[in-house]
Amino acid sequence: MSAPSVRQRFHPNDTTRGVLFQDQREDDGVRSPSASDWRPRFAVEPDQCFPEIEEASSNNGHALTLHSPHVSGDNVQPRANGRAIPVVAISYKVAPDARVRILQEWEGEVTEVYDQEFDVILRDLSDRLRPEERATIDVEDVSLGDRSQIKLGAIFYLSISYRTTERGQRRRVSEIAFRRLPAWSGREIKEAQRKAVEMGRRFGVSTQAEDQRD
Amino acid sequence: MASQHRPKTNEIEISIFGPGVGECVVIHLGRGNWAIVDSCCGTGSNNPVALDYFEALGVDPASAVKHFFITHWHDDHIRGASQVLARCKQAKFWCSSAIGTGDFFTLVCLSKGSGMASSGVDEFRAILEILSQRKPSGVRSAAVGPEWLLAGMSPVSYRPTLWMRGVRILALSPSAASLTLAYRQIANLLPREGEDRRRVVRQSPNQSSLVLSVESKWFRAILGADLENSANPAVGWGAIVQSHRPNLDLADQLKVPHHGSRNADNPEVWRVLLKKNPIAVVTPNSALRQPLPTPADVARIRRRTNRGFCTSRPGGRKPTTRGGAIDKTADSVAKNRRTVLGSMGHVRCRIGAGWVRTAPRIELLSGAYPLE
Amino acid sequence: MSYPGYSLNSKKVRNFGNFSRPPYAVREDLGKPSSGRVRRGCTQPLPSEVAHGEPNPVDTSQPDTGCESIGPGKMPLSTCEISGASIVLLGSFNPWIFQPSWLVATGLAAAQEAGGDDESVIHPQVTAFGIGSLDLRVTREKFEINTADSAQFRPLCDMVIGIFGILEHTPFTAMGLNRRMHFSIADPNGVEQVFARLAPREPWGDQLQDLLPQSLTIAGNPPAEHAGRFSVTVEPSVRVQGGIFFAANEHYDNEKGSAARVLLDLLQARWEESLRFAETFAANLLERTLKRR
Repeated sequence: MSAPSVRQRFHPNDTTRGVLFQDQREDDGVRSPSASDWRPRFAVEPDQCFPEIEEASSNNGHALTLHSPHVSGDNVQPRANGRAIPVVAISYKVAPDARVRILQEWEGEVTEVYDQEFDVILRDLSDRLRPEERATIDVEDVSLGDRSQIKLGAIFYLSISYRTTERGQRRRVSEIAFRRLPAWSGREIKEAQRKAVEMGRRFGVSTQAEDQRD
Repeated sequence: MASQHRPKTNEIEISIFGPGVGECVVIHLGRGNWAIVDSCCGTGSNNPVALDYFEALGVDPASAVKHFFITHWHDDHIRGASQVLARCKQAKFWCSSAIGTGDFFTLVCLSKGSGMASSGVDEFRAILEILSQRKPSGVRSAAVGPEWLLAGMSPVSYRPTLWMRGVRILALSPSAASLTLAYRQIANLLPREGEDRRRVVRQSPNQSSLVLSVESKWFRAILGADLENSANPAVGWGAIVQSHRPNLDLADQLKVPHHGSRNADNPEVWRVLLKKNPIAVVTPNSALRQPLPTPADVARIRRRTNRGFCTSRPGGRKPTTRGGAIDKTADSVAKNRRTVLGSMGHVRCRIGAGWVRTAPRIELLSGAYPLE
Repeated sequence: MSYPGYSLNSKKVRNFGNFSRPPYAVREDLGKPSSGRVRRGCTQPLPSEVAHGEPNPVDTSQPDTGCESIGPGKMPLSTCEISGASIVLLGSFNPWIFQPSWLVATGLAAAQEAGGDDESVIHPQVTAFGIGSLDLRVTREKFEINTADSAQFRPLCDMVIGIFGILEHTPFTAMGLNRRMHFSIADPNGVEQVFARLAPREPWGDQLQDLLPQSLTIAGNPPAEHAGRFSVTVEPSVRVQGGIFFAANEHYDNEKGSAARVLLDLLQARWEESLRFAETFAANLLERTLKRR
């Protein structure tokens, strides 16, 4: 695997920082075109217009505004043609204060499936030198949405954590989350078959694809 | 691993390692030439046991190991194999013809970057990459490997010398008939378009595992790998028994196939292929709901020989504590937790291969124990 | 050195001035997305919203997979109280595609996880919604996925790999792996100690009173092969009373002509290592700055 160029000069306004959540205050003094009162005002009607998106700041720290060529309001940016433009704010989410302290994590693989339970092999992700463990898990302990994933060879994460709510109540929680990756595509399978033919040629193994071609 | 003493130059050694899941057999063929069959790693280690053993012996695997066999692609028999091959630069790589098929190569190619690679298929992909680097384009594949073995082929043959009888390794399986079944099994493992992405899981029964016979004038050992029985006499152990020629020497030692399971037990093997009271070594599998060998399996082996040994205790053990809170919660959701790896048990058998017959010396190391 | 404005032992909150708008809507009940209620003119959260976390006593029988720096004795010097992570991709995207129903249809999310976010925005130019414990925001130039639940760090990476495994022709120009951590500090003067080490007061002279480091950022290259350009920002935490906030970013640029697959392979290879590196970096920094006298 060739690495992309990774040793770049540091740019202070590094735009790959995540800003969806506002963990901290923003204090850069950038003024937005909107009024001081920052709240959603108008809904965009997508079937009437395709608003342009304008980021309020190039410093990548602020919510987006949508400019629609329709409707007037007291919080508008007039365009060059003089039409009033409403502004819709999409606020950032305030990062939840829920404290999650991971105590232990495993990766599990389903090795046998029975009616009401399934056997697994657990690999310790918190301490990779620990030996693998086998165990049995009840289907009831898996969330409804994930039960269709319980199949031989399926991979899941099992975590045990302390969760402290905003009110300070602490709970010890175990969670099972099955890995979800996209289904195999025809293109991937064909590509793998093509590579297998090359590999087979290299190692003196004739493949079905080659035989069919011949 | 504590340091160990090397075998004599004209001594054959068959060392069988088994930590609870997986097995590895390290063979001294005489004159400092070694072979390895399969690979496994111990508890808390990513190092293959074969390399650890060579280090303990003070043997350089890069020059000493001449042959590396993989009996089949299942995780427990192939873990760490790419590391072994990378170190054993002079080793020729041999494996069962059953995986010399385009479908298996397709599985190997699919595993790359899929996010769901099975360690066995992934390990094999790493092996092929190492072999690709060793094999310049245009060079005959036989020059570097992998070499695909079928029943009746003799991949290793050392002529006798002044000090030592000849030694050879013979492949007893897979039979030609079992190849068709094996190809079909592998084809069934290929995902179809739109299927969920999951790890490749082994399919039973295993009827195409590579079974090897290590032979010298005074001693013969059959390494049973994971070969199982079949109703079809042309497949599995039935095929081996059928193809046995009466003038061939009977075996003194058996690496009991498939962890001593009933599916792999064939009374004819004990009657036709083995001497009376042979040395029988079992490697356990503690990853199953019913760990192998079961007490019934042990009893069955003991009825056939009083020289039965197991490399480590099956069944695993309760995991060491991670703290009361974690253990309590873990036990409530993951029931009957057991570690699958125990101590890396080692059963070592050394026998002189000179011109005078000697009795085999058996050593039980690191938790290996006699079957009682 | 004292830090007025960060009065660690009182509940006073200082008003930092009357900006035209706060950068985010502040709510009294934490944990839920903003519904638009605002306190005018103040960029600091309300006192009730500041966490008064007491550092938790260390239970040495329970190894913490997260960040904790242990000084002499059993009480940790600092504990990671709030933690989040995100993956940001820059490139060319079609926000309209990214809908909860699409994620469910492609098998990347369970049906029960979709539809729980009342404030989702699905639009050709911007999409923003939550699915399970993950939050997505996509514009034409940027894709960002975020979680504040450390048990979801691996599923977050899986989601990105899954989405762009399907949208494999999406052109990327850069990728950022981000980690955010709020540490509580056992020593009530811990914040002052940390910043006194990181930004000594003397060079700044006496012309300013109530000197207050707002934010420090440093960048460098981790030793690991294929690691990106690493930068970390350290600030006094506004969510953990008397705590320190770390925001780490590992940045990768996509070489012209490189397949997008290269970035995703890198993500798969580096994600966990990047998270661990950020945690260890923060914990080590705190240990060095808090222990030394």
